Formats: sequence, C-alpha cells, structure tokens
Amino acid sequence: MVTEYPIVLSLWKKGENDLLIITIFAVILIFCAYGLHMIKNKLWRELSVFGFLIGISLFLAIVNALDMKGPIALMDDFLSPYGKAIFK
Amino acid sequence: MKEKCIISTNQFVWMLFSIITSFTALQIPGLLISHAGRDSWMSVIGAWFIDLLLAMVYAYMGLRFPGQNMVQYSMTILGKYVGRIVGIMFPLFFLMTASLLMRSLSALLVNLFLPRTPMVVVLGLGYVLIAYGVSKGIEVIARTCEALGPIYLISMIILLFMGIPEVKLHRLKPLLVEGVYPFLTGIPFILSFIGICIIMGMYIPICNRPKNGFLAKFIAVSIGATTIAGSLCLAIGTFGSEQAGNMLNPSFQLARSVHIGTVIERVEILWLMISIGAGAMTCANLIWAFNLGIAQITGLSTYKPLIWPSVLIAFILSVTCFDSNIDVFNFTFYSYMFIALFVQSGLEMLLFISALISGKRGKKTQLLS
Repeated sequence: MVTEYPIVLSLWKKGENDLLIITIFAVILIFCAYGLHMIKNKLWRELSVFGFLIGISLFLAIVNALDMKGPIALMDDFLSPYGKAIFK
Repeated sequence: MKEKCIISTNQFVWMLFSIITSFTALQIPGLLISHAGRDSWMSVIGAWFIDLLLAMVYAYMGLRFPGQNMVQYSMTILGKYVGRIVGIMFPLFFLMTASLLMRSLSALLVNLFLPRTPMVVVLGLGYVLIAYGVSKGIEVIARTCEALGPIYLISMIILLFMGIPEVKLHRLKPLLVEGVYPFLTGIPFILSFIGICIIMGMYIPICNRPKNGFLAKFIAVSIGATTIAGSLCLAIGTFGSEQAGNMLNPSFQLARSVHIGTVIERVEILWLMISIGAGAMTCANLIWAFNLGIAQITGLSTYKPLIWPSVLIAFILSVTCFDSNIDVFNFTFYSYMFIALFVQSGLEMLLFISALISGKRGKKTQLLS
C-alpha cells in the first residue's frame, strides 16, 4: 500500500535532504526568535545583515542538496596540488 | 560598533592557551609526526619563534591603533571599500577554522567514544552550546577560560609525567636523518595552527592593559608550544616515529597507554575532557570574533542578532564540506596551511606595511593603565 506523504515528509523519508529540512526549520525558528523582534523595532540594518547570513546558510544547504561542492571543498581542490607538492 | 567588554591580561593568556591546546588534542600532532618524523619537535620550536615575531606585529598594530581590532584598522588604513574587503577575510577565516575544528572534534568523539551516534547530532549539540556561550558575551567566555585553563594545563602536565616511564630515549634519535626539508616544511604547517592566536588582535582593544598584548601572547604560546613539543616527544619516545605518524591521534593513544599499576587506569577520559573543553571554548572564541568582525564591517550596533545565523552557517559548513574524515585530514594537511598563512601573516603584513608607508595612526584614546 502506497501512503501519500506531504512533500516535506516525503523528502524527509528519503533521507537525502535531511540537512536542507533541518536548515529550513532552524531558519524559521531563528527568524521567529530574532527577526520578528528586529522588524518590530525597525532595526533594518541589523535585519538586512541577519537576512544575508540566513540566506547564505540556506544557499549552502541547497548547494549540498544539489550535490554541488561547498566553498571549503572548492578551496581544497584549488590548493591541495600545491600542498601535495610540498608534503610529498 | 565598539565592544565594551573588558578582559584581564590573565584571561587573555588563558584564552590563547585554550586555543593552542585544542589543536594539540586533535590529529595535528599525528600529521606533523607523519611528515617530519623524529624532527617534529624542532618544527614546533621554529613555529613558536616565527609566531612570536608575528605577535610583535599584532601587538604593535594594536597599540598604533588604540581601541581598534584588525578588522577596524584595516578600514582605517586601506579606506572604506578596500579596507572592508581585506577586513572581512579575518572573520571569514575564523568561521572556517571554527567549522573545521568542530568537525574534527565531532569526528574524534564519534570515532572513539560515541560510534552509534550520528555526527550531525554531536555537531548540532556542540553548536547550540557554543551559541549559548557566545550570546553571554566575551567576558563570560574569558572567565570560563580563566577557570578551565589552569585545569587543562595541570591535567596535561600530569598526563605527560605519567607517560614518561613508557618513553625509550633511543626512539628520539637520530635527528635530521632525512635532512632539514621535513622539519623546515613542518614549521609553516604547525605555525598555521598556533597562528590562530592572531585572534589576539581582537582581544587587545578589549584588554584592560593593551600594552600587555605581546606579553600575554608570549606566555600563552610558550606554554602551548612546550605542551605540543612535549606531547610529540612523548608520542615518538613511546611508540616510535613510524607508528606514531600512522596513528589517528597519538595523544589519545598516549593517554590510553598511561597507568600506575592497576590503581590509576583509563585516564584517556581526562584527555578527552581537555580536548573537548578547550575545543568548545576555542570555537566560542572564533564564532565571537566572526560575529564582532561582521558587525563592525557592516556598522551594526551589536553583534548579538548574528550569533544564531553564523552558528547555523558554521554547522552547515561542518556537515557538508567534508564527505569523510579522510577529506578533513587532506584539507588540514594539504590546503589549510595556505589559507591560514595568507590571512595570519600576509594580510597583517600588508596592513602593517601600508600603515608605515601612509603614516596612519589611530586616534589616541584614554588607555586603561
């Protein structure tokens, strides 16, 4: 018998996008805890930097979900040949 | 923004000591032994000396630009736009190091003590703890380091002394059997880890005696380097350089081998306490420095709203950037050194030379005596 899951739960069930789902939940929680307070107090500069950092975290989680390389792995690809030449 | 907290010189020393200790406890000594063999302790001495030269530059810049950390004085020296580009590299480096350190610590915990626990859980709990610590401010982190630092040091000394009976001195000889290349190339490798103490540039403006910046760094790095060199000699003297170089974590194996009769055994838990405690404090320091730097570059009044987003980024980096522990080792061994030396030495020397050429100085403020 095939059970119909909502999209989020079906993603969770596959176990492939756990990190993305965890990140989305964390973003919602962090936004509720701090973002709403900043909107209420009209701290627009703080909110924009806060939003930018949250956006980076979501971007990194999406990059991972799409099986693309992260920033540290890209730096590693670029630098490791030089390291291997020194540390034979 | 200007950080209003004040830390004492004593706290300054213990914070830097915790940072050095945290890397000693990880796979770094093993990697150094695998590269430099019996000469690895000489690499530590070389790195200690170069790090002190670097500390002189950081201390001088801290006094030349009173009340400013390296992120702030990069904007003073190089201007609003170029200064921001250079200045943001320090916080980004701190964030990368924090995620790398947490990943290594979690790998250690999962591999050695919690094999059935997913690493994501260990990392997540660790980051929640760190975010809580950072949200309390640098003074709380400093007080914690001041309380735990001496315990780490005493525990380390006890562990080292308990390991001495197992040491065979002939395993430490002969020296320089493969020439000077391994030990010379080992210097920048270990320097890139000891050099994380460039975070002193963030502490000097908040220290109650900024003039003691160099002294604090000298004491902390000297104790730290002695501890690292001691543990390297002990590991090589106990296991031999070939075996110690192939170990995932020679310090852990050393702690495991220590016993006094059948009365005192399994002291590796003491070693674990040191490494996890120092690692968590180091990560808290690094995340604090990242948040403060970003808040200063973007002109925020406080860094507090940025703590949880930055911890989330560090968490995602720790989880996603390395597929396995082998990848962590490869990055640590082959790539990290270049990034670290570029930020720790290259950028700071650029700022130092630019300040000397342009003759720029910070505004004189009332320094606390």
